[in-house]
Amino acid sequence: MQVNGTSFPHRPDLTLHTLLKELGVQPERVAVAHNEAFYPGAQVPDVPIEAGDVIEVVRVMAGG
Amino acid sequence: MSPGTDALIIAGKTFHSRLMLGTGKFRDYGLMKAAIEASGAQIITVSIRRVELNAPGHEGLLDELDLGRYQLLPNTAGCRTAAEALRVARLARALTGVDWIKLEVIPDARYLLPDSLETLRAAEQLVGEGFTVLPYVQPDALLARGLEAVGCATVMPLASPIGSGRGLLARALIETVIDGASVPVVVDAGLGVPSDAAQALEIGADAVLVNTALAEADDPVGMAAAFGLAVRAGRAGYLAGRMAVRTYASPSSPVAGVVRLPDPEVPVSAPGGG
Repeated sequence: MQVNGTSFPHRPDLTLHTLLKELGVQPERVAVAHNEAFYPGAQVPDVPIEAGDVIEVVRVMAGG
Repeated sequence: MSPGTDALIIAGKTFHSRLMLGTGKFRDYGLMKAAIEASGAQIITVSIRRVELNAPGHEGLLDELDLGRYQLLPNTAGCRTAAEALRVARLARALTGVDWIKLEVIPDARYLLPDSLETLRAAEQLVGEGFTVLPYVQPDALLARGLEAVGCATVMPLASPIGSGRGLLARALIETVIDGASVPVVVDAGLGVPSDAAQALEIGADAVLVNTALAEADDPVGMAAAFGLAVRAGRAGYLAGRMAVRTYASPSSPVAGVVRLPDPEVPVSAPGGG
């Protein structure tokens, strides 16, 4: 699996919620893409992560 | 129409300021907020970036902005293809709850020139997904008409390369984009000084977007205020209708009755006189 473009060790017990918790991310400040599904951080479903999944966790930054 | 009653309407939303601001490169959030305030801008761009996995602690830019006062305009800056821009746009909507997107598809790092074909592809897809799309584009009138046709809310032609401060280099081409446009034309990128913004409005642009010109000014807040004035002046000048350009001079004072030195051919005293 990949998280933000980096390979991440997959475990069978990994879910989106446990992943965000392990990353230390405050859900209300991020959005998450789980493959082709897009969620506001606070509405991320607690679904299992498969070995080949691609996850993005993003936030707002300054920019023009 | 006076500038006071002359609103900018984008996708059915009404704005009284014709200046949009980017939030990048400011020394700190305090300065950024003060500059936004001084400019009068109501539309504010932000970018979307990956959370750093090893250092997820971060300040929240959105906490700093009063989102009730501003229309947030997330961008797809950094995206090199339509596919990347689609992904970032969808993440931006999930993140901010805002369906406005400043679409940037820029494969070229040197001049940061947008890819017209990929931009058009992404725009069509995003409009279909319900986004309000404001694409950053080359000043190409045919492309602009194409973007209008697929439902973009504005077109945003570049004045000169992003962050270059070189001003309205593309003026003649931007005029062709403005001529016949059916959506607001927002001149974006490269404006360096207030007169650049005034000129853009004078030639009929509906708005401008600036960032670096403020963030890299000695006094960003002062420059923000100056751009605010320039945009109002430029728009007022456009509405007032400029004079025709002439090749040769045209005197402003009456040509008749000009005082001349005495003509030596004309006798000082009348013949036969005193």
